[in-house]
Amino acid sequence: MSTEAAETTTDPIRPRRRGARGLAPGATITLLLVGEREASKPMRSTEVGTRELRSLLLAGLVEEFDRRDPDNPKQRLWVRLTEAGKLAEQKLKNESQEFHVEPNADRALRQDLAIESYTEARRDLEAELKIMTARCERLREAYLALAALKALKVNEPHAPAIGRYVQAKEALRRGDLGERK
Amino acid sequence: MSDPSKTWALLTARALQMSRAPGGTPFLTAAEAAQLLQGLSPNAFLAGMAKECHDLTCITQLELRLFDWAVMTGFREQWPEKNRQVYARRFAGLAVYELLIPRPYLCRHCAGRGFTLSEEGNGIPCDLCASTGGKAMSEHLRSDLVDITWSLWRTDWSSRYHFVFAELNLWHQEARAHVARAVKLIQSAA
Repeated sequence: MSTEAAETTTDPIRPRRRGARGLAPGATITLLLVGEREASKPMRSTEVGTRELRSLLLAGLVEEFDRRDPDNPKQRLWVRLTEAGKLAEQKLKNESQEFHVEPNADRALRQDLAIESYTEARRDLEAELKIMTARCERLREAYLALAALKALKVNEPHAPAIGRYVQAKEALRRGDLGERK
Repeated sequence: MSDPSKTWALLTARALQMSRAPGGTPFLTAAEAAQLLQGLSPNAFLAGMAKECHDLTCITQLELRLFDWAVMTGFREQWPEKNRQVYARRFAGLAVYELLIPRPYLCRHCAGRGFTLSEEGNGIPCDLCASTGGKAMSEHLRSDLVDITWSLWRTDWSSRYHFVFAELNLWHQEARAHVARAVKLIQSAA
């Protein structure tokens, strides 16, 4: 990481050092957007990747209060820990020295922590349900096409029925769940 | 006309037009191919009409003829008697489908385009599908369609199906060769 990253601790309310546990609610930390995590370069405690930051913001654990130089991809982002973030950190502090949120923990945290987060999780679930319904419909289509093929009589053409079944299977395989009209 | 690629190029070259007016659109229309298919044996004629002329009304007759052939072959080769007729009928339908659409699945690598784009935006031919953009049907799907369990299909019925499919391909080859001969005759006469 460049020397820029090392300068991230110049905030008036200085974030605690690596390994320190617990930040007070309302405390500010400076984050440097470093893009995706590089395996060869371990992150500092005050640096998070865009993916981690997104999950933090989504979970309502931090709130953004200052963003400088939006054109610079390596910009600094100042965020503030929320009440929910404090609780979450208490939950997570035994799991890791680094401040990060496991992606799988997001939903449980949302349901625990805030009504807005609950709404968001519910919206996600509804979207998933919609996809599952479309997939079931495609599966049913394929099943019906196969059943129709097996019920064909000798003097009826089989190739078109085979085509319908193959198309339905192909759509399922591709995950092409386009809107039904 | 021993070289198949030359035969095919000749078929798709709209020989009649090009011999009179070079530079015409290079293809042989379905009506012309149908005209040239006359005089063939019924099996080859039907295979040629279905594949080259896209005449879907021939599909049922072609399937039934292939079914008859498969039943006779099954009797001769002593296929298991149980469900022999049912399987022979589905073999016929599946073989005709594969003749018409040999690559029903999209190629995963190029998503059906036949090429991939390099970083500079140049097209690179797809090696996985040989630039056809498609993928052939899997053996598992064939066993599903004929309604035979995978273990039985793998050990016994797969080879029988491919035998039937090879026969249908022979009929189609016969039709293509016949058309190629006719085109060559017309070209030499012009």
